[in-house]
Amino acid sequence: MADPVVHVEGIEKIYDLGEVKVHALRGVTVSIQPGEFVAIMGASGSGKSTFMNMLGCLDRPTRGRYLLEGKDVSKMSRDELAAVRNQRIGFIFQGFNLLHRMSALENVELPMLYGDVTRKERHERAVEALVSVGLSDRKDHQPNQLSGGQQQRVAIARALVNRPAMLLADEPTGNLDSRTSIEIIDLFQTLHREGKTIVMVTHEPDIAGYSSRQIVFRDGLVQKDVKNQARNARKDLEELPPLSDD
Amino acid sequence: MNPATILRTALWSLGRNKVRTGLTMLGIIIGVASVVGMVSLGQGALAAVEERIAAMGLNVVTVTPGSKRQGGHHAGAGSVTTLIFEDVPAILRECPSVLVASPIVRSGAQIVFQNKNHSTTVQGAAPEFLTIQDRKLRDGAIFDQDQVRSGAKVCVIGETVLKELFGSVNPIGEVLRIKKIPFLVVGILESKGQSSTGQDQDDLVVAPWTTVQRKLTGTTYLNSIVTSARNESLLDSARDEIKTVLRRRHRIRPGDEEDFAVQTQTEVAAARQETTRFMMTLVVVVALVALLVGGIGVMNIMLVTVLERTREIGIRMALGARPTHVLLQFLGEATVLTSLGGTIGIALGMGFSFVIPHLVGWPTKLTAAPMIGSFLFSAGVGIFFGLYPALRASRLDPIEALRYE
Repeated sequence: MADPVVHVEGIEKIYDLGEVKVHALRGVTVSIQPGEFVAIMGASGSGKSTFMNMLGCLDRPTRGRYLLEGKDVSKMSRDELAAVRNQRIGFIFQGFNLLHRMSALENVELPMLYGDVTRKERHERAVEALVSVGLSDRKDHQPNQLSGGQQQRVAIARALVNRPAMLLADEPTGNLDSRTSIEIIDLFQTLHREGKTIVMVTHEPDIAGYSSRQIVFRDGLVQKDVKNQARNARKDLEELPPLSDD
Repeated sequence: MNPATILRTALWSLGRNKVRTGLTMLGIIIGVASVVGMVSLGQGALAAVEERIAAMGLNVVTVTPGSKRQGGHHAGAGSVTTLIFEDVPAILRECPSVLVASPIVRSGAQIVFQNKNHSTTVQGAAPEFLTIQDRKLRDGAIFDQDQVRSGAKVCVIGETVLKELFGSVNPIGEVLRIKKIPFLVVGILESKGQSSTGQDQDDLVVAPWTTVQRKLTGTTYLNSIVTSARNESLLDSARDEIKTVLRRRHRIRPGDEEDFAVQTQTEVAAARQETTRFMMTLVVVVALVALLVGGIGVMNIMLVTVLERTREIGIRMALGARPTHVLLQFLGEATVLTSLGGTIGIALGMGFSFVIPHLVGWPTKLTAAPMIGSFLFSAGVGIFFGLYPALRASRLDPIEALRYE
């Protein structure tokens, strides 16, 4: 069996707030195999955000081990973590987090500025990524000229452009209407079929229903970890009434 | 991240808020423009002084009535009446290094020709002043020794006086009135332009010193004595000889202060150059302080920028920017900001140094050193004052930064 993309073992995270210590994660063990589409759920305060930050190498666990593609990242320095984020993780945020006054293309090129990619290759790969999310005709638009769904597609292109080991999406449909949400999920399912590993945090059970595995957090522990028969987003889209406006 | 990327990123973020960028740069622009402009003025003044050392005359040694100490305070030069005509033949007789000498008596006067009048300086002198002050006649002749002896009412006029009073009339043989006394014009001086102190050297009338004393000032003392040393190498010995003669004639005991001052041409030039240099240094120091204040403005704005762009920093860090990348980005931004300001400042300063001579007639001279220097200084200001904000940006925690609204 191939190395899991993610293997966390008994990780704990304790925030020291001076007077009180907050035990955000109390010993979580999870493995995620290549090509999985995982939904992470839980109420606020359940530890799912802390877990996401840990998976995204934005934070280090207080205890436990985190192997990303077999490499222990739990003891890495800030610089090494930045390099891992750059090369192996593709972030997708609820608020899109595109940089303004920068075209879609430049936004997609951004992660490659922090790696060793020539200018020409940056351009080619950014165009390729925009094509893959269906935005080839919007590459010179700035974020404020794009709809929410289009902005999220640009963000997905940006996450894909360095060919990461996994996509890490934090409430990717939180700022979108229900139809656009399903369109974005459809894009995730397409990427999933192509073999990409996707980890998505969501608090909407509907959205989680499109994933192939659901992990539910509660009080800093994994409460439930089950396989899921994924709904087909494409089919759901076809059944929605056609849009009358724009 | 290579330098080209840093530059592009800096230009991108500076272009997002052009008004703020412009206002922040203003401090640097003004500082650099003042440095370049003021140095060019100073260099121009120095060059003019140098140019006119030679034009001052031939190996001139000037004697002025000294600032005699009277009960602890200095009386102003010229207020002392210690120089008299008899000092002149004594100097000529006893100072082997001195070639020629002329007494000088000055008087400000209103001069009138027909219906025109003009306020000017009347200089009383001996005919030798032509040699000493390195002047030539354009037309006519200089008065002679006999006319000096007899106190003849004749004069030669400068170019400015010619223009002001006579216009197209040939003045030679005409009579102009100085303080209502008629003087016959016998010659016109060749133009000499401005002096190193900015005085118009053509705005004068020269008459025999005897006439000026008797008819205009009514005094018996001299304003100065100008002499020429035989050659340049004898300037210092001429000065010392004159001092010896005058100390004896004025009965000054050894150790006592002289009631006159002797200055050679080089000493005058050096003194003037030193004054010019001092003024220039003073102004440049003020300009550098302005540049530093501009730098503090840059730091202020960079701190605000870092705070405002916390989220952007978080995004960049999530996408893989290392602390060093963030540091370089903001440092680059500050440096590009001040270098751009420096470049504009240099252009403005150059413009200033081109315009000033036409506007107010002061000479300027552009040299590369202050431009290169102030450009490097402004870039340095950017690095220095950008470092702290950039360090703060690079030390942000990515999670906190991403959460920042």
